[in-house]
Amino acid sequence: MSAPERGNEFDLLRSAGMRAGNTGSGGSCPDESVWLEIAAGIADEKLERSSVAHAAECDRCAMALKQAIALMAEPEEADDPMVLAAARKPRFLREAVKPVPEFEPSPKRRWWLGWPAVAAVAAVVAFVALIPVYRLREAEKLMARAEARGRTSEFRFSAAPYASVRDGVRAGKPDSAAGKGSGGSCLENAPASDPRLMAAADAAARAGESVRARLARARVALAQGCLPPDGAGAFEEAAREGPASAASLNDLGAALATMAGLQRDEQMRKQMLESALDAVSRALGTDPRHAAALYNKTLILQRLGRQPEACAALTKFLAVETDASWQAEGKNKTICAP
Amino acid sequence: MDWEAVEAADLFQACVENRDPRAWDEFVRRFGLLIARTVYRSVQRWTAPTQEVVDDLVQNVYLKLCAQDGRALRTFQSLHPGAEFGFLKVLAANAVADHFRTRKARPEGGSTVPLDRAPEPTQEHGGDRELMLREIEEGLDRVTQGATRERDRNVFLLYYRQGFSARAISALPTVGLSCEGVESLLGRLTKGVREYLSAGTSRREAEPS
Repeated sequence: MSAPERGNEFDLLRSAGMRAGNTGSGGSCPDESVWLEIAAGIADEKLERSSVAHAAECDRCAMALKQAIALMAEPEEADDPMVLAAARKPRFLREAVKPVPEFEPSPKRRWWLGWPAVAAVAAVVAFVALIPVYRLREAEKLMARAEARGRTSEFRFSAAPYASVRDGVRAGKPDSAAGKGSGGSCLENAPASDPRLMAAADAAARAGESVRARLARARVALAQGCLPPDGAGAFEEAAREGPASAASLNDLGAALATMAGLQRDEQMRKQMLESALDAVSRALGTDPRHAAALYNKTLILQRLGRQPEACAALTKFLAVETDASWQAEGKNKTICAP
Repeated sequence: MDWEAVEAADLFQACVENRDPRAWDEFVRRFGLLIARTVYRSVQRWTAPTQEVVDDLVQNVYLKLCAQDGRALRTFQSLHPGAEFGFLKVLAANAVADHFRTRKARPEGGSTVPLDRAPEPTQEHGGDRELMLREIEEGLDRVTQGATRERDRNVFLLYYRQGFSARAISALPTVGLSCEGVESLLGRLTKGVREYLSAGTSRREAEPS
């Protein structure tokens, strides 16, 4: 349905309004903003009703209302580019309202990711770190127990308690074909199959890569009558790393002298004995009353065929040694001429 | 916070409190085009719009929104759904009108017709004219009845006397009719008044002169 045509008898109404300059039947004209509010649909209903009735008979207000309606109507055409350009965020708002860091709400606090997690991780790390230490101690303990049952080397290591030399050690001969223990060459009748030494070797193998761990592995290998994988490297490193102590130098000498016994080549054996002598001499340079070093020096000189020097060393050893067992073993040596 | 899901009144409050710049971003997203469009159209009433003028006046609208610690936004109360759009349109249109009034400008195609250019009333047939007007008024009174009487009368007068289109009349909330509804109402009123006028003519012709 379309609206009735104008241009008929009702035009009289229009011309009547124009002619009269009518200001409406209902008193003074509302403020212009009232028409905007009516057109925008936010005016009070009562005010709107009376104002529209006024506009129906007031030409000026009707014109204002008509313009307000046109202004508030939805656009029938696409917006002018000018409008689109002006629809951006105003400059002063961009400057006045500074961005704040993005706030990410945490719906549920994960308490277990805090200190408890750190403590748990620290505990795991500490546990893992302590495993080699535990293995090392285990290896040293097993080694000490094995040594207590009988020395597997004639030579004397600094911290080792007294134990008599096992049968067969002195008579042992190098046997590269045997391949027992952790080293390549072992004595023919070496005590490599001693369960304590085997357990010590196993624990030492898993004790990490510290100098002390490698030292333990080398000690176990020597105790088994075998050459350590890196020779006297661990002993040399131990003697080199810390302050030049008589104990570490003596152990290096004991190790070299023990390894010399595993050498089939005479020349090589002699060279190692010379190196061992040098080590124990340096140990005695640090501590002239180091009993173990004096004992080892006696045996090394003896094996080098330097009997008078060996006898002098033995005399010194007997003078300083306070342990009765070691004294007794020293006195049993038939080095000095009667 | 998901600002897109926030009610207009809450969004206005967040903008006033300046809590989060994203609130203003959402405000501009929702109402930026509406404000710019209203400003542009309002400017057209006064002068030919230029980008500079429109930009300045849009900025003016935002300044008014923020003035007095955001009083306009703080005091806004939504009486019905979508009221915020009307509120911002009125605010923008008033901001433009204030701007041009302070410059003592006059709207183009102004709402008033200078008296010297107003059509002179025809003096001829003045008696017939007055009679006709009175009969139209009487016919209108006759065809408008009941609770919608005032509304129907206003619709008739706005259409015939003030030259409103049916669409413009339907835009008035108190009319409460669609464009088609207004057209239908006008058709009914026109027919009724015409019938009354026809009856009056027959009556007059039947009366002895």
